[in-house]
Amino acid sequence: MSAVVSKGVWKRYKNGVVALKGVSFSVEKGRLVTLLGRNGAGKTTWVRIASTQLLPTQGTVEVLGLDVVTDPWGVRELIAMVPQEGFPLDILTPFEFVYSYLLIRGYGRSEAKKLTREHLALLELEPHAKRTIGELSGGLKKRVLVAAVLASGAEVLFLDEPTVGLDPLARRSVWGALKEAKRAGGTMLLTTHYMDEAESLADEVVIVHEGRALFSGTVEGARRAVGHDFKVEVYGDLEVEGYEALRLGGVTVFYVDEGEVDEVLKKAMAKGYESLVKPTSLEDLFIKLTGERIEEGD
Amino acid sequence: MASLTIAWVNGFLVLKRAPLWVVSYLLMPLALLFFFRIHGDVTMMKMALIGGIIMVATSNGISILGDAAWFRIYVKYQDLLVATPIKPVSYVMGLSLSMLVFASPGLALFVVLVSLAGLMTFEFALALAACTIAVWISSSMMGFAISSLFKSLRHVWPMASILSMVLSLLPPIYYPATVLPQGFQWIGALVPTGAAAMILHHVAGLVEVEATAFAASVASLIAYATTLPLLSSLKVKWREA
Repeated sequence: MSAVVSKGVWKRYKNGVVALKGVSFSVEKGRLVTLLGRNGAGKTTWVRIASTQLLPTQGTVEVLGLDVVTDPWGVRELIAMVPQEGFPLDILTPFEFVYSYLLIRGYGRSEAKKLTREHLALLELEPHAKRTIGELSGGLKKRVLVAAVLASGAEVLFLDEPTVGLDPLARRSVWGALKEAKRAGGTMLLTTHYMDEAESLADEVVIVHEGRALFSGTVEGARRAVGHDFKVEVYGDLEVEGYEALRLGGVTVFYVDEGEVDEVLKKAMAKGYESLVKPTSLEDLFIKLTGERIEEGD
Repeated sequence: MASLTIAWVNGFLVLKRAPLWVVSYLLMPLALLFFFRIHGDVTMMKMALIGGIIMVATSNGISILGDAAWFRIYVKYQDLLVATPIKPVSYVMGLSLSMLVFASPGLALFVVLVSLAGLMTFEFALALAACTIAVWISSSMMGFAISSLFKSLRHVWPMASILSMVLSLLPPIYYPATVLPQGFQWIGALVPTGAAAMILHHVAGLVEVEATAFAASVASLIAYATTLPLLSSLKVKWREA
């Protein structure tokens, strides 16, 4: 069963900016899907529409069969969301923030306390549970938000760039918690512009670029969609007859199969350029589809 | 339950950890009371006591403007709550209750002072309770509705103090309505704070307010306390277009 279905979603803001241009994809129940794209690609706009905060100009989004426009209250019973650039209230402790969020969602006091303790432990926040949030680092603050949303037990979770600003260890702690929540059967949509995050976490990836969903499928499917097993990055301007090259800054990228690697490397060495050979990854599909590296947008 | 939780979070816990806010809200009404005690007569001092209650309720109520904007624009707490089953009315009520929690120490202090000044008859106590509640509802709902118009916090912060001062000092709160031209005392009832003050001045026997002005004050206060909550619930940006 599909947990989320997006059909031809367009969004034109009052100032004329068109943020989404017919975004369509679906998410099966129990899957973790990342919306991958550069800043300004339209990821947050889509998440805000799906989480009933923003009306689409055209198209529909359904969450577990309920239309977000015509049945927002039905949808709100089923979802929880970490807003982009959101912060927990700084004067509270992490315990108070998560606990109060659960009370607001309708949990009883004892159940809310139990869930709060469990999720603070899951996000490794227990040592900080009694300090006020204002005293915590940016990464810990973000983890408090994620803990609250995971503790909600909502069937579909929207997490809008939940790991931005976190150090690598803190990011991994959040990843661990998300994997745990997925094991418990939760459906999650997570926006990110971190390739490693998408590759590490996602069952499926939706590549969003300039308001369009350019690819939707598994990470493995994305690698296959590149069409080649390897890429050769040549640090210089190089042309090799018979091979298509992409120029990204000062780097020329060749997508090749195993038997073709040597030929490109020899040509690069003949010109005195340094080269690197790597297996193709999700990033390569992004580059092939958009002509840009994802990091350039940061 | 959701409203009470928000009031606990944004009222009680904040009050407990940042009690200086209470002092800041009390400074102006206490300064005015001091001024009237030194330079005014007994009637003026009693007006300043009633004015203190109205000012504490108003300044705390209107400060919802800053909290609501902070939650919506900066920390995105409102976004977090939109994606939950909480109704916008409960959210607005919760914020409004938290403002009352903040006002409570100041209100308690002024109620004690009013009692010590010998104003607290049964009739006056009833009028005081009704007027204070109406002023708190009106100012907090007005603040919430106005906060929804702002896109930047920089414009919100001064607005709260401007409104608080205008609502607390301009109408006949710290002066008698009899200062207004005869037949036009009802002008004082155009804002809820002025209406509340005229009712309380009259009930306390400090000012003989014209019958039409008294009736206008009662009607105005009821109208503000019922329509402004409606306006706030319409203005709450639970989903943007």
